[in-house]
Order: sequence, then structure tokens, then C-alpha cells
Amino acid sequence: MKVYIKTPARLHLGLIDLNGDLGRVFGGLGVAIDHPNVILEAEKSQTLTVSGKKVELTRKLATNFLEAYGLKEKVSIYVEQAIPEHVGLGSGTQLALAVATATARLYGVKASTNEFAAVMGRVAQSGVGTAVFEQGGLVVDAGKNTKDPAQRIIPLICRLPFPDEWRFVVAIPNVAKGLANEAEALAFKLLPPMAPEEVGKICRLTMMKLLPAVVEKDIKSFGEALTLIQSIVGDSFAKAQGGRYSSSTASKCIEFMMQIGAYGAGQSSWGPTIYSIVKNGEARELQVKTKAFLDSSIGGEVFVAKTNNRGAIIKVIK
Amino acid sequence: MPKINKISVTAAAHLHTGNFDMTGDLGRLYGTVGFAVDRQLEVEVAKGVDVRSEDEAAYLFASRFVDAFDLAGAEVNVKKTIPKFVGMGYHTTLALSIGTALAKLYNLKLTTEQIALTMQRGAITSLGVHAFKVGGFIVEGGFKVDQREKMIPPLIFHQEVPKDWIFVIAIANEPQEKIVKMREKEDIILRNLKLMPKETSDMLSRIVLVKIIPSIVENDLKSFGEGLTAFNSELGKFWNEYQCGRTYCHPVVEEAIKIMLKRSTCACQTSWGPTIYGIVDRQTQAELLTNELKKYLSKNGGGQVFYTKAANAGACIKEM
Repeated sequence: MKVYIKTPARLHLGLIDLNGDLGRVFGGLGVAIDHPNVILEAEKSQTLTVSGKKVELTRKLATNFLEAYGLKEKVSIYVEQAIPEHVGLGSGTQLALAVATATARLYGVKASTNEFAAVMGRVAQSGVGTAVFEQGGLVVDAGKNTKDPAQRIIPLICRLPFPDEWRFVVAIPNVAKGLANEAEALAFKLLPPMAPEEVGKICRLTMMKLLPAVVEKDIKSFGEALTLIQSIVGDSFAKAQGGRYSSSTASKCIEFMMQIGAYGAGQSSWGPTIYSIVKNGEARELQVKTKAFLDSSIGGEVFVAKTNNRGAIIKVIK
Repeated sequence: MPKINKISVTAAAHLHTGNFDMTGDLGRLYGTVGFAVDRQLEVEVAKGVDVRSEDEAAYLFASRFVDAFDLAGAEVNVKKTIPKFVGMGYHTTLALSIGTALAKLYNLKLTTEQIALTMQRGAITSLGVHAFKVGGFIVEGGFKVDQREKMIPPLIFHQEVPKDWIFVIAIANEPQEKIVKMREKEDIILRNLKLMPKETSDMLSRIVLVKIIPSIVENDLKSFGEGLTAFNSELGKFWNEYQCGRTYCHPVVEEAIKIMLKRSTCACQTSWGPTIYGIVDRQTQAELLTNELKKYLSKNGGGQVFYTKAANAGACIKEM
């Protein structure tokens, strides 16, 4: 028996409440995209063996899972593809959940994806990555309950199918990687709380513009809401990242994509990944122009992604 | 295929909590929060050669639908009713029930949204439309300002209400006459409504997204009730010029809200009132609160008080 898993990647569209005085803090908006992917195959084994990509991290994750569930048996994992690390595409959560889910299937461990995320230590700030793995589409999580510091599961509050005919043009400029792990936790600690008025703006933009636009497939309204939410969130992160976005290249590239016809644009998590949203037929041209724009300065990768509306693919091969 | 002679539709009443965007600068207006509750309306509808019903409102809606699609006729029998003109959605629920039955009888392929637009119900706030479709706790995302009364606001959040939550509902008699009169002018009032300051709409949206929705997902009634009460009372202040400067529609209702708040973190007025509701999670609490409110209302113009669960499913449609 073998378990095959292919995960989506995650674009982060913004945080909701960086104040917390109503009892919840963070709360995130995210969307699942069809690539890059974590693709792995796992089978039962006498010894823990890992091959392919991200060998060391995968070994650590598998060890963690086997110990957490007291499994004496081991597992052999081949990581065929991985999502680039620390660029804002949610690689850590997808790999951790892929390892956990595959091992669980092999040994009949029954628990929810939320439970696996907690066991694998992926619930620090956000439930978005878990929801993306499980269901895909556009997701909103409830944020952390400030009265419950030991909270293990950050619940999903909204999940909508994301229009199949929309495309993200995703750019990863060749700049330093974004914050992760301890550096990220420290940055969150150092940030001044967002003013409640700013949080209110994000909330209203989410409920009265972004979410209805997804339901109604109105890309213009979606783009406007996204860009506004991104600018409010970005400005509140300025102290930690030195500006609205993670680098001046990111800022200029976002501006450029908007000028050449994107409906909305932003930065995923701490960057350096940025993205814009366009209709299917417009994506290729925007990709080519954005690539040329980046190549005229520091260079970088640019690709077109569509949404993943089903979450990770999990196949058990007998 | 056997011929269908009659269709029965049973649909739940709803309770309105409020609208979070009365500013409209983002391109949409209202945006509504509310619940479907287990008080059922029941109609039986058959084809006819003309329109017949003993119920005036049912006759009106059946006629509207028959005219819109050029049908032969309809016979509508209202078997069970819910309180009228008190903010529990009687008219919208009745209209959708009749429209849904007629669409089925005449084999018209229509969505509930299309039926609502035909009936001219549910286009400003679509709580009743989504209560009819899916029940439970509902948040809808308002209508586009340039499509007012031409579209039905979309559902953006939906959740089953936890099974142990009990709604205590009080309908005071005293303010009813005044409210019925005001409802006749509702269209004019809504068309000429002052705009809410942006900051207030922002703040209300935040209460919904960051407090109310996460609390129901986590089954935290205390926090949920606090959020609803704060949200509803803030809106009461916005609408107060239609309530003689009060947050709630009448002094009797104001006092009943205070009684509710002694045993529930939730006390809200639905729509223009006079209906108010609280939520508790123990039967004994529900009984105590019902008795206290009954006692109070009996000395203050009378009224009905009862408790019920949420209706966690949409309308039930049966062929007879």
C-alpha cells in the first residue's frame, strides 16, 4: 500500500484583525492555487527513509508525527516536488499536512486535518493553510481566541469556491526571503496593534465587497477590495518590513501590474511573493510583461496559477 | 408521471439582527444578519382557473405571480401562520412559499432568488430568502447600489445554530398599531434614509466578522450574545429617529430588553419590532425568562412570549 498526496499552494490575501480588543486576533484570508505543489508518496517501512526534495525537514516532520501518535512502525517517503520555502506560498503547512495525512492513512490514524495541523505545530497564527489543504478555494479563518492562549485549532469561518476563470499572476522577485518561524513570531510581537478603525475598514471590505464579489464572480470589485485590504494590512506591517510591501521591488512590481491592467494586487504573507488577479485570457500577456519588468532590475520568477477548489489530492494505491 | 394536484410548503419564520453597512460607499448597501426560527408557516397551493385565497396577503402574492408568468390561476390555503407585522418575516415567507409552490405546479424552472424578485420581496435584505433556502444563522452581503431591487443579496456566511440554543421571543402588543402604520411608509423611509457614517459601518462589520461569526463557529453563546446585543443596540441608535429617539421601538420593549439581559447575554429587537429575542442554552433558563416576560407584558398591554429552537433547514416542499 502506498499513499500519494498532491497539495495546492497558498496565497495569503490579508489579515483581518491585528488589534484583538474584540477577543480575536489575526484572522486570515487566503486562496488555494493549483501550483507549485507538494507531491509525495509514502509507504510503510522498517526504517525511516526520506528521499527527493526537502529531505531533512520531511524527516523531522515524519519523526514528529510518529512520536506524537506513539507509532513504533516507520515510513518511507519520496518527496517528488516541493513548494519553495519562506517565499509566502505556505510551503511549511502543506508539507507538514501531507506528511501527517500520508502517514496517518498508512497506519489507520483517524483524526481531523485540524488535529494534524495542531500536532505538527502549524497553528501558530493561522488556520488558512489547513483549510487550503482540506478544501481549497477561498478561505477565511476566525483568528486566535485571545482568551485561550493554548488554542489548538483556529476554525474556518468562510469557504467559497473561487471562480475558475480567474487567474493569479504570481511573481517571486530575486530578493531576500520573507520572515518565518522565530523571526516571524518576533515581528508580530514588535508590531504596534492596528487601530480598531483600520480593522473595521478591513472587515467591511471583506464582507461587503470581497466575499460578495467572489460569489457574484465580479473580478473588478474583488480586485478593488483586495488591493485596499492589502494596502491597509501592508501599512500596518511597515514597521516590520520597512514599507507597505517587503521590498521596493515588490512595491514597484505591484504598481506595474496594476498599471498594465490587473484588477487587484498584493503580497502573500511576508513576501517576497506578490501577485495580481486577472481574467483567464489576460494572464499570459501580464505574465510576460511582468517578467520583463523584473528582468530589467533584479530578476525573478513569474508564473500563472489558477485556483484549486478541491484541496489536496489523496490517493491510496493498493 | 402522476399528476400533481396540490403542493404544500412549510417554511420557518425569521428573526432579524441588523444591517452592517448603511453607508454604501463600497458599492453595496445593508448586508444583513439573522436567523431562521422554528415557527412554521404552512400553505397549500393548487392550480385554479382564477386566483383564490381567503388570506388577503396570500391573494396578493398569488396574483402577482400568476400575472408575472401569465398563468391560469391559483388557489391558496394558508393552513398555519406566523405572527404578522411584528418583524418575523411573515410576508416574505408567505410570498416565497406561494411562488415556490406555483413554480412547481406549473413546471417553471425558477430559483428562489427569481421567485423573490417576481414577488418583490427580499431584494433589500435577503435574510428571508436564505432562511427559506437553507435556514440556520445567516449573513448576506447586501445589494449593489446600482442594482437596487433588481438583485437578491448573496449569502456569504451560513452556519447551523447549535442544537441546545433556545430563542426566547417576546412580542409586546402595545407598540403594534404604531409599527403597522410605520410599515406602510417603509418604502419611503428606506428610500430617504440618512447614510450611516463610514466608521459606524466599519465598526459594525467588525463586530460581525470578528466577534459574532467566530463565536457561533466555536459554540460560545456568551460571546455570541454579547456581539449580537452590541450590534443590535448600535443599530437601534442609528434608527432612533423612527423610534422617538429610542434605541428600541417602545418603552415597554426597552424594559423587556432589560429583563432579557438579566438571563441572556443576547437581547435584540428584530427589524422595526416589536418582537425581541434572547438566546439561552438551558431549558430551565428559557422557562424562567418566558415566565418573567409574560408577567411583565401582562401588566403592560399584553403580548405573546414563547421559546423555540432555530430552524436549521430550509423550507419543506411536498407534493400532495
